[in-house]
Amino acid sequence: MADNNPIVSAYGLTKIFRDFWGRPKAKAVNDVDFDVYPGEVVGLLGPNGSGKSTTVKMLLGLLYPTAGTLSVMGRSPRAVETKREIGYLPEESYLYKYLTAIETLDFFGALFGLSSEERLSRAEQLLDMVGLSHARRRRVGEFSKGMARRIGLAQAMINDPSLLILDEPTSGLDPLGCKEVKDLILHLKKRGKTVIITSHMLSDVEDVCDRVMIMYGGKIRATGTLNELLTITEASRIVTPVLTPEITAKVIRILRENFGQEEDFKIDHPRKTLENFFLEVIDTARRDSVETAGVVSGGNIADYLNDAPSNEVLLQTLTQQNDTPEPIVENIKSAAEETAEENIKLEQLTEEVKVEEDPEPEDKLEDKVENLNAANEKLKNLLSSDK
Amino acid sequence: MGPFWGIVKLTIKTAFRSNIFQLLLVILLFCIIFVPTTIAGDGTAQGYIQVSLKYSLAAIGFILSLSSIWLGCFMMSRDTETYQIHMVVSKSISRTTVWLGKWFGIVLIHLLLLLLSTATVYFIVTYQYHRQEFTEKEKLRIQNEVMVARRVYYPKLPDMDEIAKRELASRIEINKKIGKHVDESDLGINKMLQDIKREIIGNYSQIPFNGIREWAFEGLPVNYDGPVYLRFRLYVNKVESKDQRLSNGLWIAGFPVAVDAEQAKNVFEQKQQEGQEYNFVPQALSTVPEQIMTGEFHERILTSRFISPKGMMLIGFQNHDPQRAQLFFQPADGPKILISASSFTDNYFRAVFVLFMQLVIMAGLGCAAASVLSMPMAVFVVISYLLAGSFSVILSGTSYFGGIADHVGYFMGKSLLLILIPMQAFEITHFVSGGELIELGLIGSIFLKYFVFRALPLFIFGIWLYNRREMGLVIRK
Repeated sequence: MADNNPIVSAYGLTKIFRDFWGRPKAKAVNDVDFDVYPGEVVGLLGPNGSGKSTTVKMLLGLLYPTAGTLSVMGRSPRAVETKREIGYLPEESYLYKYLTAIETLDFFGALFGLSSEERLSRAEQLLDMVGLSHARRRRVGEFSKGMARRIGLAQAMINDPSLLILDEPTSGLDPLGCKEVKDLILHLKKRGKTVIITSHMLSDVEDVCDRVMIMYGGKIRATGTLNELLTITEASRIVTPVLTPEITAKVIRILRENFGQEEDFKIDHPRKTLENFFLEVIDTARRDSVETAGVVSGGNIADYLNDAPSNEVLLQTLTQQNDTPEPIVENIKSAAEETAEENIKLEQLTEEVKVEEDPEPEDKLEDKVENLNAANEKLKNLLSSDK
Repeated sequence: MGPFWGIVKLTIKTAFRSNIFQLLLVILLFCIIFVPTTIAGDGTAQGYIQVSLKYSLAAIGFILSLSSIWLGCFMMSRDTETYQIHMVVSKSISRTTVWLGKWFGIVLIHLLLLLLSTATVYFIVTYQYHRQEFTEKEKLRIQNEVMVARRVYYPKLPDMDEIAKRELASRIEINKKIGKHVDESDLGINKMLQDIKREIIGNYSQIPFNGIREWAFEGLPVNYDGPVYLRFRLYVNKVESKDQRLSNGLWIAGFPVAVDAEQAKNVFEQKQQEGQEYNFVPQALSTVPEQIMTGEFHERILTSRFISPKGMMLIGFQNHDPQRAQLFFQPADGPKILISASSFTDNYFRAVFVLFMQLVIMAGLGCAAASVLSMPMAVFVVISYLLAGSFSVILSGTSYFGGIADHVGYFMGKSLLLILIPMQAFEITHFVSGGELIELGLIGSIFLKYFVFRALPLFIFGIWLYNRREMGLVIRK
C-alpha cells in the first residue's frame, strides 16, 4: 500500500444522537476532519464528553456517522475485511469472565480464522509478553484490573493488526506495566504499525505519540506534533554539568548583562521524571535479585510481532520518497545546532572561569601527584608480572 | 475452527454456565425420570404406556421450548448489553455469522438434550413394558395399538357445503311457493346457509334409534394381511363429556364380493360407477349388539378381508340404545381405520424430529426478537407471538356465526394464521401414544408452512435488524 494514503480518513464527520422519535438529542462529533497516516502514533485527547469515544466507536463500526465520510484502510469501517487489520483495546474489560486467559485468546484468534496451532502459538507468546503466563488457566473474571488490561492488550494483538486502537491502554497498570506498554507501542511503531491512543494520562501520551488531536465539544481544537504544540519558543534551556557557585554567579552576570536586571532567570538542577527514577530502583533491585510476590514484568515481544517486514516491504520503505515533512527530524537538527552554539558559548564561559579560579593549595596538588605516581607504579608492576 | 464455530462453541459454554438453564435442566431430568415411573394411567396396561408416553413427551417439548426461547433471547441480548459484543464485532466476523453461530449453538444444545431425554423416555417406557406383569392379552394389545405406527384412514365425507347450498335453494323455492317471507339479503342468505349446514352436519353425525349409518373408506392398502383397527368415539343424547353412559350398538362390515352390478339391492350396495366391480355384503361383527361406553375412544379389530381389491372398505353402525336415544359420531372422532405401517421406534423418532423443528423455530424466534430488543421485552414478544398464534386457531375454527363479531373473529384468525405460528401445529404426542403414524407428509407440511414460510422470514428480518443495529448506542448493564 502506498504509505502516503492515510490509513484513517475522516471528512466532515458528524454524529448526532437522536431519541426514539428521531429528534436530535446531542451532537457528539461535529464536523471533524482528520487523517491518520501509516506508521503514526496518534493521541486522541480530550475531557469526558468531548467525542473521543464516539469517534473511536465510529472507527470500529459500532456507531454510524450521521454525516460526513469515514474510511479505514480505504474501506467502510463496518467491512469485515477492514476489521481483519484492526486491533481494539476498550477502556474497560468487556471480556467473557468465565473464559480463562488462554481460552479468551483462542476464541478471539478463531474469529480471525487462525488455525488452532497458530492460535495456540500466538496465545502463548502473547501471554508471555504481557506477563500472564502464570495465569493462563485462570478465569478472566478473577483478574485484577491490571491483569485484565494486559489480557485485553493481548487479544488486541492476536491478529498482528496494522491499526491498533487503544482506549486508555495504561489504565490500571503499575509504572512497570506502563513502561512495557509504551515500549510495545514504540516497537509497533518501528514495525510500521499505526496506533491510535485515547488517554487521560498525558505523560504517557507525551512519551509515545507523534501527533495528538485534542477534542472538545465534538470538535478538534488542536492538532499537531508534540514539538509543534509544546515547544515554548520564547525561552531557551541550557543543560550543563553541575556548576559551582562561582560559575553560577558568572553565568547569571552574563545573562543580566545581556538581558537586563528585570528579566527573570532560573538556574537549578534538572530533575528526572519520577517514572524513570522508579524504573531505575526496580532495575537495581532486579539485578540484586530481590524477590517479589507481585506482578512480574512481561517477557520479550512476541515473535510473530517481531517478524521483520518482507523484503519487498523493506525495499519500499527504503526507497520510497516520503513527501510528508518530518518536523521531528528538522526540529532535532535545529535543536542540535542551537545546542552546539550554546556549548561553544559555555566553553568560552568556563575558560574564563578557569583563568580566574584560585589555584589549588600546593600540598593538595602534591598529594594528588604522589597518588598518581604510586598508581602508575603499581600498574607497571602488574603488567610486568603478567608477562 | 472458523469464526462461525468459534461463536457456536462460545454459545454452548455460555449456556451451560447460565443459572436458569441449569434449573431447566434439573426440571427436565425430573420430568423424564419421574413422570414415566409415577403415572398410573387409567389402570390398564395400555393406559399406563399411553399416558407415560404422552405426558413425558409433552413435558420434554414444553421445557425445551421454554429453554430455547429463553436462551435465544438471553444469548443475543446479554452480549449487547454487557458490551462483550463490541469485542466480537470489532473482529473480522460479520454480524450475520455471529447471529447464525449463536442460533446454531442453541439448536445444537437442545438437539443434544432432546435426543438424550427422548431416548431416556423411550428406554424407560420399553423397560416398564417388559418389566410390568402384563397378561399376554394386554401385551398383545399394547403391541398392536400403542407400540406401533398405524396409518389412519378417514371416511369419505360428503360435500357438506354443496349439500347445504342445494338444500338452501330448495327451501327458498318451497318458502316462496307457500308464500313465506324469505330474507334474501347477503346476511340473511349467509345465516340461512350456516343454519342449514349445521343441521346437515348434525343429521350426518346422529343416528336415530334403530337407524344405520355407513362410512366408506378408500385408499386402503390392498393385499394387506394383518389386523385392521377401527377406532371410534360416540356420544349419547348430546356431544358432551358429561352425562355419558353405556349404550348398545351393532357394527356391520361389508364383505367385498365380485358380483354383477345390478344385483345386491341393500344398504351396502355399491353405487354404480364406471369400472366398479365389487359389491359389499353386510356382515355383523357380533351376534348381538355390543355394549359401548359412550364419550370414550374404543378400538376393535377387523380382518383385512373386508378390504376390497380396490382398497375400499364399508363400515356401518346400527343404534340399539336401550333408552332409544340418539347416538352421535363427530366427524373428527371417526370412525377411522388404522392399519400398521411402520414401527413404534420409527414413529417415535418422527415425533422427536417434529419436536426438534419446534425447538429450531423457538430458538430462532428468540434470537430474532433479541436482535433489537432487551431480554425481557424479547421474551414477552415471542411468547405473545406464540399465544396469538394459538388463539388464532381457536378464532378461525368458529363454525357458528352468531353475529358480526364472530365473522370478524373468524377472518382475523384466518388472516393472522398467515403470519403466525400456532403451537398446536407441533402437538404430536397423541399420535405416538395412540399408535398413529406421523405421516411424512405432515412433517413436510409443518416444515414448509411453519419453518420455511413463517419462521425463516422472521429469522431473516431479525438478522437484518441485527446488522443495522448501532451496538455503540446500547447503555451498558
